[in-house]
Amino acid sequence: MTRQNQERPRNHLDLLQSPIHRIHHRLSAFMTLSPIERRRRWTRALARIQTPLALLLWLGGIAWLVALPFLHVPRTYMSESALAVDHPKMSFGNALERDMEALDEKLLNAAATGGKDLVRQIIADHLIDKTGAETFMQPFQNGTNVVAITRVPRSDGKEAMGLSVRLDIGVKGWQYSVSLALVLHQLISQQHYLSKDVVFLAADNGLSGALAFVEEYHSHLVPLHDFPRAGILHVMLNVECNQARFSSLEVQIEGANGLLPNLDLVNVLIRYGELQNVPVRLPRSQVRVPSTFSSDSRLNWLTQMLGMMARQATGQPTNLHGAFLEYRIEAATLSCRGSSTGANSRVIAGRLLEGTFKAISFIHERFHQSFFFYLLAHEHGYISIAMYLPPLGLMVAGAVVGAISLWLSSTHVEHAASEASGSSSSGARLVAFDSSLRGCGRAVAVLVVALLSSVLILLIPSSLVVGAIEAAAPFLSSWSYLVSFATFCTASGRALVPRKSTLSHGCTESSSGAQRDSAATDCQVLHAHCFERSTCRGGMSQLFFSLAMVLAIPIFLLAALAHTPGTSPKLIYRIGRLLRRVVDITAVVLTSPVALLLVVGLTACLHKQPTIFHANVATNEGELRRQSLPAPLATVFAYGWSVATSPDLHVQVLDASNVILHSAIDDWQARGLAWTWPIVCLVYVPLHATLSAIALA
Amino acid sequence: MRLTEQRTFAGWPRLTIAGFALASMLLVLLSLSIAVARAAPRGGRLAADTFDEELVLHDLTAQESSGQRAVAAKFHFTLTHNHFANEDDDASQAGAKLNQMRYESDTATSTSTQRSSQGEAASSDALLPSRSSDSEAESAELVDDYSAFPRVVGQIAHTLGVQSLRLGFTQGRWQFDNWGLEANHSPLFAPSAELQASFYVSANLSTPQQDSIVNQRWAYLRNALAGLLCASLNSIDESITHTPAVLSHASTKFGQDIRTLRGVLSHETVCTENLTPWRKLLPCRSQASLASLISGIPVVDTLYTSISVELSTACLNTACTQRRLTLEQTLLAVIDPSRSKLFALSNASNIRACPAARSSIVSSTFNVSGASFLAKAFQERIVVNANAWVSLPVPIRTQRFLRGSVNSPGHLVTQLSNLDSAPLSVLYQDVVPWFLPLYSYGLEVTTYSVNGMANLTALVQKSIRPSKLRGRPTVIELSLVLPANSTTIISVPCDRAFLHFTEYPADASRGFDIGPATIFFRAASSSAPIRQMHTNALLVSLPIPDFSMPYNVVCMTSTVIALAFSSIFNATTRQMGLKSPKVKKGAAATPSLGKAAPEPPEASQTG
Repeated sequence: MTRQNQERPRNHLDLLQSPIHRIHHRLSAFMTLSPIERRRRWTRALARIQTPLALLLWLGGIAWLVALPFLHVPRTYMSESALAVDHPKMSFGNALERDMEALDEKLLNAAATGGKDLVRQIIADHLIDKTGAETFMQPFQNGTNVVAITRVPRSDGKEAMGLSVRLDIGVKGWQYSVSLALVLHQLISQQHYLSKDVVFLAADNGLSGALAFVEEYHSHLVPLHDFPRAGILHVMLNVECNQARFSSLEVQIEGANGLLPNLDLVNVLIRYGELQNVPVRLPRSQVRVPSTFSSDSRLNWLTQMLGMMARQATGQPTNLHGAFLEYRIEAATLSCRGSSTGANSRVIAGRLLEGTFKAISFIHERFHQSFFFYLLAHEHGYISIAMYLPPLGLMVAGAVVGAISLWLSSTHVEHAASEASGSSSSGARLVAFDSSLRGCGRAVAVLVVALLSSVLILLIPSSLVVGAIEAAAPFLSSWSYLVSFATFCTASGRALVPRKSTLSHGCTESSSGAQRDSAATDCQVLHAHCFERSTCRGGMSQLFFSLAMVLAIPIFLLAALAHTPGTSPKLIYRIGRLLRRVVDITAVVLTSPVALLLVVGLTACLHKQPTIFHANVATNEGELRRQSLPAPLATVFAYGWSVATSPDLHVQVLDASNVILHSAIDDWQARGLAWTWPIVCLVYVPLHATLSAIALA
Repeated sequence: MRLTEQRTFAGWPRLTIAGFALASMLLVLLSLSIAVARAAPRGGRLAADTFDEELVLHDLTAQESSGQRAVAAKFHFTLTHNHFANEDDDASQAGAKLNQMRYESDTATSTSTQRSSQGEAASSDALLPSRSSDSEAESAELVDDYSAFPRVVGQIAHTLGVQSLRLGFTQGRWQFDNWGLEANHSPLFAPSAELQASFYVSANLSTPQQDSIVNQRWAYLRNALAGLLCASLNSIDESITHTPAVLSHASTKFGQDIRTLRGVLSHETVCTENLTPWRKLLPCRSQASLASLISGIPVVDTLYTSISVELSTACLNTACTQRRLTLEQTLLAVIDPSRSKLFALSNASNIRACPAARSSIVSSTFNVSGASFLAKAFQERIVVNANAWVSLPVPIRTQRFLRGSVNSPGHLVTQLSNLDSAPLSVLYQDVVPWFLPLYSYGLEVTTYSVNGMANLTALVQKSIRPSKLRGRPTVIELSLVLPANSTTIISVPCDRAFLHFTEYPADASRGFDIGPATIFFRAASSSAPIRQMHTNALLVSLPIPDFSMPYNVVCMTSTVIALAFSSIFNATTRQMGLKSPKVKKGAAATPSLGKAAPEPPEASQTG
């Protein structure tokens, strides 16, 4: 094209007709218009293209998301070098296979003769005999766990790591898992290099057993007598190997609410699998790619990624490890897969896990490097939050464009009207730019897009969404929709989490006698915990989010006022001017270098990784939890309230916005109404749309 | 000289070993002590001090199956010297003395120590305990008197008026449940590093004056010891120092008050760099004597290691002008003989006696034949003495933990179970750093009997000294009577402080160490000696900033403000327009963002 242009003789006429010139011509014509007219025109143009644009953005976001695996997928890497993987020497020898087989038989016999109780007894005896562990039978509502802690010689009892296994004698091959876990625990406990105590958990009744354990470990008002504890629990690995031989291993990572363990932990498992020459895979996606594609094809990566998103979207933990993730214990499940005559025996799995525990024992600090938010396209390739957030932001952007357009058009001055009325300066009026019917239609369109987006977002795990909103927040100025989205999405995400039964269990059990009151608060604290890590990743976006909301809500209130029939235009004008001044001052303050430094400093302090937004909940929670204000309003209220009442501003800002945003949800969940959230979400948005339409009309 | 040496080690060949069948956990108590009687002839001239050393081997575990032994080595020094109690002496002498002390110990002293010493030397001279005017001659004699007793320690004690001193470095945890407590040995130290010192201060001074003197001396002391033993004791500042109410003898002796301070460094790694200077305090260092058996690396490769220095003074006359200084250096180690070798085996066969030692005893509470970890030559020197280590069971089981999830405020809970069938009288002492603020109003002490849940009362008296942010720790002291077969739960609500970013250590994600609570106990209805134990220590996660975040924040904030904020801000908050029709006719009255609205007169002007 350019070459053709060069070849052709270039004369004045040609230049005039060139597209660039035409654009330039139009632009200059546009610029000669009065500012008001210019604004009117582009507002109109925006209004015209708003619906298709929103749709386009929405589709573009989806397309981008789907395209991610076809773009650059970085290879995973060990971020925490102290893990010192690639340590090849393992002491899990082949001789231990005989031990495991003997145990298999013993456990099976016990299950046949004495049922679960005898099995538990055998497990406990084995633990005490072989490792000298502190063993404890932990009764809970629907079962009894076997909990043991081996105090390893060199540790100081401040940190621990652990191993869990499902105690479910109804499942075929259960004994293989249990004996592997027992022998593994015995072997690890004997290693002299360990710096962390070793926890063993045989979780009765699957997930509820694991939850009962982890809740007892962390928060019970009246501690169970002699329940063993060993400080901070760093890692729990769940072993599920219900067959004596297998062909490959599968690592499951998704926890409740889409929580994920640190990527480093997953990497360690996969890396040690390579060292042991056993394939460690991610769970197979439901959607199968035709076998003509190689397993390395991008199409496979796409299904893998979508599969992971789908698993997260269910909100259900994929295995026992989900219980631990909620308490900021990095956890994953390693399962044996493939034919039961496969090439690998359990010794291989044992070695792999031994290596992993060795690595975990080496680390000095908590897992804090690497990623907590990621999607895995394949075992060695990840899509980080930085890559999947822009598509999500794009999907939401449609609603924002709509909101901006609506805002602009509804507050525009129609000169013709003022001219027609014949009044001069005093007679100026504030009139909606569009006729009311058109405004109504636009509002509906905007809200339909919003609804579509919110429904879509509902399907995405809430941890992703919260991250997305947090990251998107600073870039957007139309907050009211976003706040509703955030609330609804997190609410519905949480509603899907199967925690109700165990929570109520915790409450009833401890609420005996005089402890009832304190037990009730205890339960509330419990509720608060489940959000710990999924939210509040970025202190800075939090700050902006809160700030922008404070600025935006009055603007929207004003817009609503402008639409109310009978309001004096002068009043609106005055309020608008006042508001404008406030906003101007804020903007000046915000953009000043001092403020920049302040923001940088504050956010550096505020950015608490992975969060402790409950730092001051003790003082706020009790009162604010009972507020039944709608969450966004409550957030604004609490923001101001906490700033006003506490000198410790920077902590309060974080706490209040988090706590209050979720307090209403907690409240509902505590009352057993969690299931209503999706319904509320689906009902509220159309209702809102209708109401807005009526208001506009 | 030769004669002394022969006499000192006459016992060695007699030390024989009998059978040693047990194969597990071993306690080594290596205790060297120098005690020198003033008149003891040594090498033809007056010797000022004595030195005794003792090595105790003990099997900690009653059951043969589990595998640990304890070895204790004790080195015991005693020094008698004249104390110069006279108040009115010239300050320059004391200053000179101090400088001398600093000079002598500065090879191992950190620069910070020196700086602080120099900075304060001038002003503090008067605060230091002074010497009498006739001290010159005696001082010379005194210096000569240090033959076995480490001069550095003596001078520190003398210059700072130390009445007693306990310093211990501990690695690992003592399993009170399994290992019990030794009846005669001094109490175990808290994990990591613990320093406790009592000072003589003139009773004539007012309390604030005493405070400032004591604090200054405390600063000197910890700096000096930090340099001496190559540990970060200098970081035991006011924010973690406290006065243990139970231990501070508010007694006045010879016109001198005794003031006690204590500090625990809960994350001090004990390693060979502490062991080496500790050995250098011994008269023969590690060239001879029992200490030569101990080589550095095996000592830190044990289940439990405690290296300690304990100093005490005793008055020899009524005016207390002559005092006896006793220094006890102890190494207590629990080893797993199946794995670790505490002793440098190559040395054991040709061990040489330390000429300075008055006695060197190796005793064992069990028959040690076949103990593979001891070289043959060494085994022959062991005396079997069942009373060398008397292990008493501990009737209390403790558990200490933070209730509540990792990231939320919670409760600091300590659980004390009395396993005995008689009530126990207990003093519970808990020192919690300021970064874990405790809400003391929420302190709850509840007691349950083991069989039922009947509520009992255990609390007799409580004293709580709240913390100050960055100032001082919370000190909780509870006097309890634990009923027989009961469990007492002490629970205090706590918060997690948000630190200044400079206050975070390099390994902030690891967490912050909270030292153990100390428990003094004895049977309620007896006058048995009070025994002492610790709970486990804790690690607490505090809120931490993402230290890599500032960079991201700078980038992102700039981008946001530059691109998104202003444009969207402009679009949404733009003047919503009160406009006179004249403007339309006018040329180009661009309403600026800064102005709220074009004023009507202005509009008419443009028109």
